[in-house]
Amino acid sequence: MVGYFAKYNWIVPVGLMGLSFIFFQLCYPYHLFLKEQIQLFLYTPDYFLSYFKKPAWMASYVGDFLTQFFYLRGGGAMVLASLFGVEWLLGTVVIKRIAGVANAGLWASFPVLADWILHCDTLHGVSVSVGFILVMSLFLIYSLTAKKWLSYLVLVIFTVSGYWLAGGAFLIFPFLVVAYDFSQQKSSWLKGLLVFATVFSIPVMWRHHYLLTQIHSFIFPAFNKQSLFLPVALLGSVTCAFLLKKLELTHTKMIGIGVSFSLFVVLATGLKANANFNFEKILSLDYETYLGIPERVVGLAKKYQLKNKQASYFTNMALARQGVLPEYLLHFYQPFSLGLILPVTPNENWQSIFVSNEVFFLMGDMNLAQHSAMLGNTFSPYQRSSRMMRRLAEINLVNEDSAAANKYLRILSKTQFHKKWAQSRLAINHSPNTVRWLAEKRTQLPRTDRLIKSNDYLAALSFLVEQNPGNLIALDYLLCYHLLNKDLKSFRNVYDQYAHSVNRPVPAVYGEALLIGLFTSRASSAEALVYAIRPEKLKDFTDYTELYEKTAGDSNALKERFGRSYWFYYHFATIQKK
Amino acid sequence: MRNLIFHILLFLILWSCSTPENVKYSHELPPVYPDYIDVVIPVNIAPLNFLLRNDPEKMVVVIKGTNDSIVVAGNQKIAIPLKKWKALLIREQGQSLKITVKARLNGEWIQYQPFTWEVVSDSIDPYLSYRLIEPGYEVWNKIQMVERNVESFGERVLADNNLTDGSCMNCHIHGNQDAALSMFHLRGKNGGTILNKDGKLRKINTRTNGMISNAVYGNFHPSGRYAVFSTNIIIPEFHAYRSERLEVYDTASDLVVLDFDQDKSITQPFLSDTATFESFPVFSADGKWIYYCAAPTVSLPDSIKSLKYNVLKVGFDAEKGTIGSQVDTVWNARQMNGSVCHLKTSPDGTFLLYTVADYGTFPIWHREAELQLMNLKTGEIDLLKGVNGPNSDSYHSWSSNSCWFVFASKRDDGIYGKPYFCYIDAGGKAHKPFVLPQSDPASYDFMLKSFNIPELSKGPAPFDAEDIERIFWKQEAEQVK
Repeated sequence: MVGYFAKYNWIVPVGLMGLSFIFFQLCYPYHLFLKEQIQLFLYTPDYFLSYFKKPAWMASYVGDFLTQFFYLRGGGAMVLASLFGVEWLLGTVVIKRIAGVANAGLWASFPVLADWILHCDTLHGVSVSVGFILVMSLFLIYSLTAKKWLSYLVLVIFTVSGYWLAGGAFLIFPFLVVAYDFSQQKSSWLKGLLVFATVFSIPVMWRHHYLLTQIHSFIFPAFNKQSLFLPVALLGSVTCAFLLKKLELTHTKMIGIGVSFSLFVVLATGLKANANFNFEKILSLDYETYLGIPERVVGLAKKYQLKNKQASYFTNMALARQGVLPEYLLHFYQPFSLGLILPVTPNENWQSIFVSNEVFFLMGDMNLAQHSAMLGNTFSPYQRSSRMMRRLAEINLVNEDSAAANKYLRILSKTQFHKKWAQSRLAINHSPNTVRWLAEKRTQLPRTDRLIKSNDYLAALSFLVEQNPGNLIALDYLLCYHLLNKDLKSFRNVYDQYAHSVNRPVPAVYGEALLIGLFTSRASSAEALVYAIRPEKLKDFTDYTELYEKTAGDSNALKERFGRSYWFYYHFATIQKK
Repeated sequence: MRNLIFHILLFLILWSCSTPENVKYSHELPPVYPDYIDVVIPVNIAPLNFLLRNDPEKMVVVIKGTNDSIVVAGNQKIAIPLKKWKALLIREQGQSLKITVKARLNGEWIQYQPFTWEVVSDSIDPYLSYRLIEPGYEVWNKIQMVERNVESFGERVLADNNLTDGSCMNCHIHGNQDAALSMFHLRGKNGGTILNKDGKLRKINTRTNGMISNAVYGNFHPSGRYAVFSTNIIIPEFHAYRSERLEVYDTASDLVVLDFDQDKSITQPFLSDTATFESFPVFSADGKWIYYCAAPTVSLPDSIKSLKYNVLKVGFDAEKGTIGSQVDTVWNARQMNGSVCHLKTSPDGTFLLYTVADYGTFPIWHREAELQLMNLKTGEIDLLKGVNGPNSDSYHSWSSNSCWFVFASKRDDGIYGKPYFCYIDAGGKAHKPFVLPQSDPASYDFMLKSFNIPELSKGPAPFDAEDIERIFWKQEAEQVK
């Protein structure tokens, strides 16, 4: 095998491996963290056996095993770069054996690039890459088997078991076999036909056993049809290498340059089409929220200035944790109250539902948090999410429901990377002493009961505040909910009832909103004094009003100085329908 | 070299089979999971594999009867050989098995207090169907209807919503515990009530003009010709207090009998008025009565805690296909200070099994929800103290011999329901229940689905997921008139 590579210009493909590591480590790490969070790899016999309920058990098991390393910083990039390396290595040998071209190493870079591009999608699993590697390995074993009778035996065994081991990627196996036999001038139509018929009929015949739809049976373990680009890219490379073989003999350098250029174009266009860097930024906010570092979330939010509901959601939570939500609320994009609480409805995508529990947990509404976390797990692609298990364990620890907490902690204690976390929580669960964070969380819990509709967030917030006016996070969320919906009357009622007595300087947004209320109700200066609004705010308000009247409500004139004021939001924020 | 390997292997085999020495005796029962301590089991049940919660390095279990015994060894758990187990149960029926557990902890062997499994010759119906679904919240993604052979560990999927456009499916019930008579509801655009009669599948649109919804909770008439259903407008809401979680109530509910032979609906005006909520209807074993739950309407959700369902009964004439007009109260909610749901009459006509909660009609998140057993001949009520657990016990179903019932219990963790079997002896006494055995007893620990609406039957259902996929996509629903 070394002989093959000595001849190749391997610098380009090996360079691509390095680049892919740098790309996933530096430009796209948060997608990889999410891929781990939506998985749960357990070291139990029952878990291993569960893989036999679907095809591609080996690809899926190994894929999921490798995905757990995405938990580590750099782990995901390392795993993917290594997989790409193996893909390239095997792809090169496959192309060499079929097409016998000098530039096999370059041609083999196409499927690697396809996989790289596909891995930019959160739903493209490592199991697809592993399945692809398995298929190439099976083909190479077949093609390297010298004895005729043995090669037939190998072919029969692989044809029958390939789908079982590798899934939908195995559909390229007959193409490779026929191409190889053709290149070796030992092709038999009957043999080819039998291999094709068997390989393509197995998914159809077994789909009811595996309870898969027709399409899913051909692409499993992939979720999307686009994952088929990976094996198709190999077929394309083999075909092109084969067709251009003669030309390569006379124009080796030209072909090499042409292929290298094509690789560059494919990568550039593929990443442009499939990599979602905006979503990567949102995921970075999510990840720092998951780690509990609000300063980092706010820092990133300032840097990105995203106009996105989910970005606002994470930013608002970070501000609330720092106790400055009403101070800096309008320093960031606010799509009315939609950036405060992510709704859990059938119209929302799974990623939105997946993270929707965070705010309820933060505010202390454990029932809504549990509902969202349970649905987050239910609607995540594999329905077993390490992150949701952790959250459900925490919720039940707060609720002092130790049996339920044990359930989730026991599951996590069978993982590699969540085991320590689970064991520390199990110790808390069985200890008579309460740790600080748990005690603090429990103070937020309501002491009485009420029935609330799942999407009636206003009722939920009001109840939390009623039950515990000292729950400043819930209070700020309730006040901001009213303000962002421009409901000044409700804001004033809640403010007067609960927030007025809170011992802190009047936050910027509240002061601005109160001034509007006081102004429109023609309140006396004595009434205004009661609210202790900062004097500079009063001056700003006068300036804003004058400028507003002078410019006949020209938002451009007001934006520079007052763009982050509630007055500006109140006057000019509108809901834009897509 | 070969000799050496042989001797090493021989030593290892002998060492592993040797009896534990220097055993310390404990006065405690072993920390067995699932809780199989001192339970009554049917002669045809699958092996009661279990694990020890204290994570021993090794364990040896001796299952000793009067005539025979089995010794099983394992690490943290045991897997009893199926053939030996079956032979042992057949030989020991009517006797008690004594289970002695020895465990090695920190290098030290401990023998726990033995416990018993009383083997009764009254068999349980060998097939159990249930829905596997994420717990509660009335929301689903992946649902399967599964049939398990309780005599072994064989399992078969009867329906999978991956093949039916992700639609919801619920309430698979049998008539007379007969495999050839069953039904369940498939929701969604191509849905309908799937009726299995002698293996022939029909898809029926049960909603007629004037009905407030499709058929929901139902039960077959012993003849198989009729089924009685409630129709419900169901609203889910959340409790705010700690782990009370979800409350589901009806804003309207009525009763209707469907005649499957003539595809027509039968009702009475008082069963579809707005003054009363009616739900969970069942036929008596002789088919002459319909038992159902009913509560006067109250303002909801404000007065949810005063929503209490009685058990009522009304006559049914199967010959004429008519519902009577005289309603009798069987269980008075005000007097008993509770609310009843999930009625199930025993096939021999002796018992009525039901769930009682403090209020409402959806007990699966009510921790206080407990089963009660009414003797319909004497009117006596057994509170089933030894049967009920600390969390919700509900959704029960009888075995055809009326000696066993299965129910869904959340007693383990308060969230995930599991099927428990309970024995009623000839004297009407209910015994401590035990959970459905699994080949790997740890599987319950790692499962993220609830066993929902367990239902026993005498044989395997004559359809599978492929049939349900076909009928869902390719068969038009028949319309009930």
